[in-house]
Amino acid sequence: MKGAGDFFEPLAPPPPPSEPPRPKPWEQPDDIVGREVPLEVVIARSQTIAIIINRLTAYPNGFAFNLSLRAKPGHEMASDGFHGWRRRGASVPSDEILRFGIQFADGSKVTNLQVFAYGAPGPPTPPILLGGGGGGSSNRSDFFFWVWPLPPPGPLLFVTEWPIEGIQLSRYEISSDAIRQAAEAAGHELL
Amino acid sequence: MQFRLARSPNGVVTIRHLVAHSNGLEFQLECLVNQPPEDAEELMGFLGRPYYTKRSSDPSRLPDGLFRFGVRLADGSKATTLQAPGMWHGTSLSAFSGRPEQPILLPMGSGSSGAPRLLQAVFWLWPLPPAGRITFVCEWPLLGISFTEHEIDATPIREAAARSTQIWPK
Repeated sequence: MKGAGDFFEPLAPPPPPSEPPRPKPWEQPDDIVGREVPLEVVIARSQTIAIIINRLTAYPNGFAFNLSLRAKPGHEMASDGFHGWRRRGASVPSDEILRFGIQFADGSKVTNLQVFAYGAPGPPTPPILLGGGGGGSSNRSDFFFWVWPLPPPGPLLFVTEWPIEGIQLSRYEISSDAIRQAAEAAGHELL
Repeated sequence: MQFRLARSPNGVVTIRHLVAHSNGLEFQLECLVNQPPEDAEELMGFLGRPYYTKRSSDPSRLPDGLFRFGVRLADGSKATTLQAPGMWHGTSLSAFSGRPEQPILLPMGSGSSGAPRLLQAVFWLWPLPPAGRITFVCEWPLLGISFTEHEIDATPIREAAARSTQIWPK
């Protein structure tokens, strides 16, 4: 009779660890050192809130940046602004939701109210705005964003609106030149 | 200001977005990883996150997987990411009773896309460094990055800070 020791079959060897997936062509690269664009601007403000764009980094296929919410000292923001706007039954975002978007010189635009189909084989329709993750306190918070593709020559608009914090629809224009020049420099620093 | 701090065949460390404020220096630190290690958990050693528990077999040595980063200031003082356990999460000035005796590097979040080969952190160096040289230092044996220093002149950054306007003037 066989011994009890060979009743249970040994485990199959584990599969070899797979490499983490590489970013898609419309995502922030992980093999290029992005070039900073020195830009720190208040794109909108009210009595209680200032909205700032900074930490802008350019790549050949787009740019990343930080969107910063800074409340007046002593003021607490009603919400972090970005999350949960698709409340059950709502077809429009409530006044609590911070609307944010960008518009290229060719008129194409994208906003944070559009749902992006992560995982779709793609490529998506440009431009796209990814991210929106981050956080902080009720007085200051920071959110990471990524835009694909690189904006064409000409004006680039940052557009915001935050009704509950008194921010009317605001358009802040910069030239895309600095981003495009930085992107050109970034392309020459491949790992 | 942006500069390359260190490089190996498997990693590039970059500092960018240096901004001086009245009470500190803010900057972004990035490490691009070429070939992640087989044990992906080793990358948790970026900035000594509290759940990175690997230890070197020799207690007098730091584990190879632990990323080491710091600054040396013109007055000889220094701040490193190894000063406090769990540096990644929730370290703030309130954790110190009284005024810290030496400069402190405070992590302010990653603010990145989260891609596995793209490691980023935003730091706040308190207090504002004195005028003169600042030396940035890093080392990461896991990625073959040997002890590397890069010196910059803090004076232009401080001058830019003096010209900046406050978001909410007092």
